[in-house]
Parts: sequence; C-alpha cells; structure tokens
Amino acid sequence: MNGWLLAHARAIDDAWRRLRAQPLSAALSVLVIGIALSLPLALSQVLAQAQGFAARFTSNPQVSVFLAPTAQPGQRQAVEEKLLAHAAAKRVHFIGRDAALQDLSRSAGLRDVLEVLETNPLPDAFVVDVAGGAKAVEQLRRDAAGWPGVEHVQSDTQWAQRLEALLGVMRTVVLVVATMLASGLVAITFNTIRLQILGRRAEIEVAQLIGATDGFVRRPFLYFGLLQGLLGAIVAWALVAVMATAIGQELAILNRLYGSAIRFGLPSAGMVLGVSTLCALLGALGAALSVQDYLRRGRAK
Amino acid sequence: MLNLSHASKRYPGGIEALHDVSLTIERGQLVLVEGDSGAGKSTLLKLLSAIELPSAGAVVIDGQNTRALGTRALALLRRQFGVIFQDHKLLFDRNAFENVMLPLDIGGFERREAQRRARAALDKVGLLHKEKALPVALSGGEQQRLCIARAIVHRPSVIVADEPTGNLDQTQAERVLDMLDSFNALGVTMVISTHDRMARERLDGQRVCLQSGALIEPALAAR
Repeated sequence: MNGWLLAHARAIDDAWRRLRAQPLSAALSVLVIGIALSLPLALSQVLAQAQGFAARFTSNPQVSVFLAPTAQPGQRQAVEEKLLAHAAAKRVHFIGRDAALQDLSRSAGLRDVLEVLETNPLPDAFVVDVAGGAKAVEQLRRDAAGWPGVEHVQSDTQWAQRLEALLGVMRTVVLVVATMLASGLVAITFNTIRLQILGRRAEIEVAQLIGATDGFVRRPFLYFGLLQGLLGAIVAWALVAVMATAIGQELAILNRLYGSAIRFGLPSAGMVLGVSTLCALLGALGAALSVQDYLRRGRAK
Repeated sequence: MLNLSHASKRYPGGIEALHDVSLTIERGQLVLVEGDSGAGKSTLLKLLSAIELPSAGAVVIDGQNTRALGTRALALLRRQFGVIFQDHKLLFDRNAFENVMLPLDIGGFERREAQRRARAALDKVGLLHKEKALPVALSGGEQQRLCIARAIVHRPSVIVADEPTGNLDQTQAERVLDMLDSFNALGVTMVISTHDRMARERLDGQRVCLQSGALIEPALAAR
C-alpha cells in the first residue's frame, strides 16, 4: 500500500477507534445530529408528495362550465358547440347531473348524506381540458361566463396554483431550516472535535515536535467528523422511515375512506445517498474548521 | 551539516534566550553543549532541530534555511532528527511500544516494518520486556531509555539530547551515556546539552559553552 493510502487508512482506523472508545458520548452526538436532520428531511418528503399532487393539476389545466338548472337542451347544445370551436379547448367532456351525483356518492363516501336529499342539487357541466397556460384558461373562463345557459365557470387549476404558491413558501422554509440545521451539524462537530483536541493536546504537541505535518494531525479528526455526520444522516433516515411507516398506516385509512391516493413515500436511493454524502462532508467541514482553529492558535503562540 | 549564523532567539515577553550565536556542526560529529541552567542550551537545541525558529540570524540544516521554510517543510525537516527531550514528552495513555511507534506512524512506515523497528529499538535500550507497560509504570531511567528508543527508531541522521542524564542515578546515567556514545560511533551526529560533570568526562566530543545566551567557547565558533 502506498504512503498516501496508508496514512488515510490509519486515520480512518484511528477515527473509528476514537468513536468506539466513547460510545455514549458518540451515540448522543450522532442522535442529536440525526434528530436535527430528520426534521427537514421529513418536511422535504411531505413537500415532494404535495408538489407531485399539485403538478398533476397544473400540468393539465381544466375548466368546468356549469350550466344553469334552467338551461334548455338547445342552450346546452350551443354551449358545447362553442366550447368545441374555442381555440383554448383541447377536449370537451360532458358530465350530466345524474352521472355527477353518482360519481360523488361513489368517490367521496357521501352516499348516506346524498341519499337524504330529495332532489339532485348538482348541475349539468362540461369539463374542458385547456390547451395552453394560465392565459388560455382565463380567456376561456371569461368567454364561457357570458354564454346563455351558463351559470358558473370555474378554473380547476386555481386552487392547485394557490397550493403551488404555498408550496413555494414551504420550500423556502424547508431550505432555511435545512441550512440552519446543517450549520448546527457543523457547529456540533466543531465542538466535539475541539473537546477531542483538548483531550489529545499532549499527543498532538509531541507529534508536531517530532515531525508530524498539519495533515497528519488533521486527518483522524476529519474522518471522525465525516463518520459522525454520516452516522447522523443514517439515524435521520431511520427516523424518517419510522415516521413514514407510522403516518403511512394512518394515510391508508384516510385513502380508503376518501378514495384518494395520498402517500408519505420513502425517499429515493439517490436522495438518501446525496443527503448522506452531504452530511458526511458537513461533519468533515466542522472538524476541519476546528482543527484549523487549533493549529492557527498553536502557530500564533 | 548544521549551521547557525548570528542566530538569536527572543521569546514573547522580550526574554532573549540566545544572542548572536554562530556555530557549525559537521555530519557525524559529537557536540556537547555546556552551560548553567538558563544559559540557553535548550533553546540552542530547539533551533538546531527546527523546533523553534530564530528571531534573527539563520539556522541552516542541510542547506535549508529554517526561516524560509513553510510549515510542512519544517515538519518534514524535523523527521531527520531524533530528539531526547529533557522532560521525555512521553504519551502517558499509550504503552511503551505505542510511544516508540509514533515517529514511524508519522513517517508513514509500513505497519509490519514499523513494528519490527519499534521492537528492535526497545530491545536496543533494554525495554523490550516492558513493551506493554505504560510510562507511569516505568522508572525515571526507563522513561529516559524509552525516550531514547523513540528518538532512534526511525534511524535519524542527527540525535539531539537535552540533559539526557538529568535526574538519573549514576548507573542509569552511565548506561544512557554509553548508548549515546555508541550511536555516534555508528556515524550519527550527536548534539547533547548537559551540565552533568560525568557526562562531560565520559563523552569525547567538541564542546560549546553558553553563558547568558551567548557562546563563550570559541572552538566551534563560525568559521
């Protein structure tokens, strides 16, 4: 094995031994890091699900044109023809009031409530898939609102757009929280390494007197920080998995009742790998800053 | 070759430990640095082994001016030396074997070769049977010999010993001095500071005398 690899192998071995030599304190540090990291990771998972949910609607904008209960068949025919001829309409689908009532009673579990109604309160409606963005939706909405027999026109994407705007705010919040907690990871590692350096000061000083380079001094601490960050990330992912399992069971009940498909999914392998690598690097950064601070102070003396 | 040219050392606080010292030590030479306590012997040894840098003047080791070197180059230069510290500077949480392994770990020696060398060095100073003992379990003489084992284990070209017989009884001191003499006989450059009369009598080498930080023995003054 060449000298460079040998030095790194020894540093990793040294870091691992140091970690095992203080199991309680190492476990507590790792746990603190894990708990702190699990919060933004869990939030980001929720966010990813919500984003997917909103994207399904915003990528396929629809407009619902509700006819007045008093609309005549001729008026319905005219509205359909106008919609088919409209530049913004991609596909026009008619949902009769009886079919709408059946759908509602099936999908939302409202059968009991709807059965007590004497008459069907739902109107006939056209659901229009819109070709184009927000402008096309708005144009169609404005045009259709003025046609005879039309009582109300609703853009189905509006709430999704609002949700997306809300998710934008949430994304920023998650980013800010993640940045703060990442800084916390660096600070925790900085302090852990500072305490370790204090405990090993005599050893470091002797090593420097007999020819240890800064790299030789720094290496075991860098690997310690790296290992601590990595283990913290593993704990964080484990906590997220526990949360996903617990919440998943509740969501399954909710999905069964409302016929929805909302899930708190597990992260992808790429995300686990990426975040774990980032945490390991942040741990190493905290350690590097701590050792650098010690070496700088030593030189100043 | 070690060369001091008008070297001075002033510590923070204004204390000048060494003043305008010029000195040349050739390869394989044995030099005894004499002087009372506080004369500047330890400081001179620290300058010669690149542990300290001069405040003024120059210290040149094998053609390298220590003041012109960076941190890494200085560390690498120190590996050429075996230093026997006055206070041993042993690591008390590591056993004798691990203490001797330290310079070899720093030097990046292959593990098996390092272990072989560490045991040979311990054997040389008569401590192989105590390789697992912590320094606290060793006598003063044994600690001194352990420090010597650590200084020679990487086969340095120069050994610098600061009061190697201080605090030792006569038998232990004679043993240590014989050991140092034997290293010099093998061609290792030796710089030994001492105010021990027995050491001065037993070791045959060039003498440098310091008083209040200045060189007063002209024999080795700058040529």
